[in-house]
Amino acid sequence: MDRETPFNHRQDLQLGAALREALAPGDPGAFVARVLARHDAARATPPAWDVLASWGRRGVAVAAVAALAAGLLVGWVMRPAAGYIEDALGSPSGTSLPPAALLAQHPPEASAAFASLIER
Amino acid sequence: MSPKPQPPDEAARKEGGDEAALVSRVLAGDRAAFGTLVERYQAQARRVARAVLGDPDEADDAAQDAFLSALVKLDQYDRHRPFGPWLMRIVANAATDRRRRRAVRRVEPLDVGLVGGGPRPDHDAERSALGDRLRAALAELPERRRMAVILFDVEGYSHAEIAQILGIPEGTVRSEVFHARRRLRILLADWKEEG
Repeated sequence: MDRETPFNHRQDLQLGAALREALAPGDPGAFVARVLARHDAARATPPAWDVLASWGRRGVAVAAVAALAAGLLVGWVMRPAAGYIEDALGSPSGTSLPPAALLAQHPPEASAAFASLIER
Repeated sequence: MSPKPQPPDEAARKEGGDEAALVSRVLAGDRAAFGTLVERYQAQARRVARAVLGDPDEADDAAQDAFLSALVKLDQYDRHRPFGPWLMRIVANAATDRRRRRAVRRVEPLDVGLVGGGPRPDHDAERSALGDRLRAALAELPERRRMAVILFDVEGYSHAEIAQILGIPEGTVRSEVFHARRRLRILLADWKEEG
């Protein structure tokens, strides 16, 4: 054996051989077969996150459809009754502008609109 | 004492030329290529795991975990660098994690007759007894020291590569190898004298 110093770069072949023998592993073929079997099993079973992700994707799609349906239902139930706008315009509390001003094709003169507000 | 000096297990490492191609095939889903990679490095991985764990069955489990973990991380491997140190780092981590998870640290009881230089065993049992002694002596060393000496003297890695595997400075690797050798050489010298 070599004289030892921490700066020795050479391997101790005798010590290495003795340790190699002391740590000799068992049948290599059986080991490789076990690793490959675990590899195959892992490939056959999708990872848990993939399963959760697939559930998540399905869940998001179902939730989107449900939200759309709910939105349509609410919209249908809460749709304004016929004549609602006209009623609102006719109501004194609906607006302070005269109905004719709101239903006109062109915007009223600013001074006329202001004057109607003052009068009220 | 009968073990003859053998070159360290560099044969596998010298085959590194085709490792990049092998890794590419594994990444492409080639099961046989993965088998070849496992076959090539299994002995080394199992010895390193055993240096950490002591128990051969547990070491094999850790080595298996390491190979499967390496497969998952294979796309992170830099194909311009040697595969061995990259894999051995994963092996060392897998074995260390497994040892930490053990509820009770299992230390192989030291045989007083073997450690204390008792009566020399029968010639037939010599090699086995030397192995027992070495394993017992290894078990007494700190874990990092054990790994350093195995990676250097058995597996033939350089100090720089071991530093990379263990994540410690190169100078520390030298020191660990030096102290481990000193302890193990005393034991081997005793054995020779007894013979």
